[in-house]
Amino acid sequence: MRNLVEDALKGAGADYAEIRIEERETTRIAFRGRTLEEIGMSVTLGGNVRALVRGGWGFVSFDGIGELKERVRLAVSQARLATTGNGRASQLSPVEPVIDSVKAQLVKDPRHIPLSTKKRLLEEYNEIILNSGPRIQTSTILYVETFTKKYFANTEGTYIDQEASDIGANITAIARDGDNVQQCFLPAGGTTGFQTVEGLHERVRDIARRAIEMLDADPVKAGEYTVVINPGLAGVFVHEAFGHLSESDFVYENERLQEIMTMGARFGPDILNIVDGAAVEGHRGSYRYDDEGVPSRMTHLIRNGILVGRLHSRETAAKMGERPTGNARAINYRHRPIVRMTNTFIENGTTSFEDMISDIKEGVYAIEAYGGETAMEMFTFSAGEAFMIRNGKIAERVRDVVLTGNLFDTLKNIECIGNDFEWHDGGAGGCGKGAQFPLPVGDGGPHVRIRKVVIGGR
Amino acid sequence: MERLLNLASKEADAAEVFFIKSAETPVSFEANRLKFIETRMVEGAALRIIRNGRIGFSTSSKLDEPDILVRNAVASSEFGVEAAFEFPATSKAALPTPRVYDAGIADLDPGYMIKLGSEMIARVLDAEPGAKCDVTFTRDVEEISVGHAGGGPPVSYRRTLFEGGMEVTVVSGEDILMVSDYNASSAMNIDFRRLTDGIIQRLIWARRIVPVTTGRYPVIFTSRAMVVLLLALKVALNGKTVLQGASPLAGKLGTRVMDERISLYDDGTVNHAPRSAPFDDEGVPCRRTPLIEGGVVRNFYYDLQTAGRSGKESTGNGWRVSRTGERSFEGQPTTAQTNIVVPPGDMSLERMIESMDEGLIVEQLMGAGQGNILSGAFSMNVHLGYKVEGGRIVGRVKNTMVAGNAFEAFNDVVALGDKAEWVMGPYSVPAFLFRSLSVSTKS
Repeated sequence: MRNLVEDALKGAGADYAEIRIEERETTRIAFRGRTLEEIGMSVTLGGNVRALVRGGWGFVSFDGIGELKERVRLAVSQARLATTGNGRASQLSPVEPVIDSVKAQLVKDPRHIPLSTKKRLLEEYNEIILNSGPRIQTSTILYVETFTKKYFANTEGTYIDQEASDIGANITAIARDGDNVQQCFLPAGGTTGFQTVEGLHERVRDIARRAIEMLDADPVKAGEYTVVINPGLAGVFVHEAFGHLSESDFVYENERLQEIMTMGARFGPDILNIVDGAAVEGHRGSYRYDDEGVPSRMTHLIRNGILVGRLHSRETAAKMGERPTGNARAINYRHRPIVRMTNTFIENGTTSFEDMISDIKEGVYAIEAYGGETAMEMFTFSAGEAFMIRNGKIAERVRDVVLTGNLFDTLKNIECIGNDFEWHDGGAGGCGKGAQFPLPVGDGGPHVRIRKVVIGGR
Repeated sequence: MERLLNLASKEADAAEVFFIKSAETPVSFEANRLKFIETRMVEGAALRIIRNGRIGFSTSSKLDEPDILVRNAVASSEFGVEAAFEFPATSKAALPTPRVYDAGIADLDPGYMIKLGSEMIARVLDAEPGAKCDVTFTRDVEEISVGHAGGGPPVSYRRTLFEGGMEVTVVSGEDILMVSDYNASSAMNIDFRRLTDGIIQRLIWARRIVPVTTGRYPVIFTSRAMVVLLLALKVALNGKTVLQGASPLAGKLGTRVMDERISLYDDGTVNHAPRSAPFDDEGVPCRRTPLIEGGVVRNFYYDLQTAGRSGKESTGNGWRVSRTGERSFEGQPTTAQTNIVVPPGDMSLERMIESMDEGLIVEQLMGAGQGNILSGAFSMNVHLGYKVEGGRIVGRVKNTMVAGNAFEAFNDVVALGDKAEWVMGPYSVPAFLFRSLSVSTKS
């Protein structure tokens, strides 16, 4: 493969050119209730060429790997055409060429496990939910497994081949009582093999039980509360509400945001530290090199409450005069790499969960995010589950908890950061940006206590 | 294809091969400047088999290794869904022949798209010097084949598509105004200068921001906004929703459910409409299916499997889409619309506006698809809309929601517009004037 792609790039006639080849095997299994809705396997092999000529980009993607030289020629000729009248030329920040080969580190290789075994395991989980009593309406299970091998070469002398495994499972129990429908959801999976979805029986039993309990909960009373969010919700919060603003391609186009996202600006209390990085083993957003061949690293976005970093591709780094961070990612070979998050998390603090809730007279404990939407600085999240906190103790269950607010106020209102950091990795979903969805990402955090959060009842 | 079908029919009772080869060339401008020229080539095959009564499915872009496709399809059929259909015996003679190919698109030079985009941006900047324009043109050429083991020879067609979209952003102080439009056709017959002039007209109407008070008003949905409102109807008429018992129109065949001036067709045979084709992705002939006629529910639309499970015939609405929602060989066929046609009524847009003492024109909406679509309930942010007073447009409204129930609204129509324009690609829809919808605004 190395000879093939390096040959194709020879004499490309571009200021810069790269080839990315991708080979991917995918297995999908989906249940709705007892009906097996989908089971199938697919293999894809394809690639793309990206070329830069005097600041203009050309990009060609293709299935199969025939006629590579021809593809390179087409990308270069398109880049030449894109140069026409381009007053704001694209440039690339310099990086050291790399030659490397990265193997997937798997405990149980899912490719060696028969489809029947996978299906049987999911059926076991499904039966646990469906046999959890008459108030269980139905279940949904989605299992997506991919194994990808990527080959990357560019005209600067970089050659990398890299393997990656990703398994995501979404297991949902749906309970119903008349018009009252409640669901509870278990995301599972990971990058280190099939064992990440095994042995979940107790946890599946638990989501079925919780979905039923939620039927009897009263809706929360709307108002302003001190809220404690669990590690799962903290992770989604930091990704959705803050992380996207750190993606430089987004900031660069928006002068107003650029003013807000000035380095050195205070965003939160001293105890707040936020990091993004793929250079940590074994999480859904982990890798050694990004899709431009740039080594991954850990980037502090907020240190001691102060904005200190943002995420870059080689192009945005050059434009903003900063260092590339290894965050250029494409969901597959049909797309060009754009700036994306990897694993985004709030670093561990020092407060225990007991101490965190001990002096709250009336507050809300919100667990996992069921969904969320952000528009610039405004966000809303629906909590998967929630309890009232009364006189320092977890009290009755409540439902329909939607947290809403302004990101900047909310970060400043953080009062405590827990000492119980957890990764929040699983699930078949991912992050969407532009037309590129779902991209595997990891997130995480400890328990976090925030004052003055508006909770809207429905 | 023949080789794959032969290989598959040794292992299965019936087999179908879907093959696609396409090349898509997007040219993109960002913030008034040419940014990217791309080519996306897709070439792949999907194999669907019926073996011991169960469906097996696999896809591959490694076309030189057909045995992997067969092996994977057989493996998945072990646990596959029970097939409720037989593959159709498609013969070329029985297929409709809508015009879906234009050599003018196939041979189009990217230089033309660059020139057209630059002209459109210059035109907008003339009228609105501070505007930032994103423009994307895409030229698409595809070749589709479907073959069934034991059926006649495989059928195939070539289709072209030319798509163009523009989004204009004007920021002044805290106010961010975004006006956009998009259209697509399989012939070079879209007037993009006119589309640009439409955007400029909307920018001009939007210059002045006017207050609106919460209440009930007559509301005009333009053709573009109607595309959003039709979503609830499209979902309710989808045979899959009906089969799941989730459609409010289930059991209403032959019943009048809306104003008798409203008809709605799914029509995959309109010349040059973007989703027309001789046959769908399962080899079933495309057709014109009356879904609503004179306000009465006439049909639901189906793919093969859903039709089989419902005791109906496929209506040629089996299409393959990927996980990311794009047309792709990687997804299994599912029920999906072709082109949606709503015939026009008799009132011009000008007369609709003149008829309103106080009311709203809705042009772009945000938050579609949220909430309970199945019930028809909608509550959407008016992303772009105008206030009408004394029969005249007086300015743009902000922070305004329009809410109601689509099924109730279709029963409370003053008039349908006298022109059904092709908008947003596969939609031919007139403007609608609704008697009274709830409009709420931030105090």
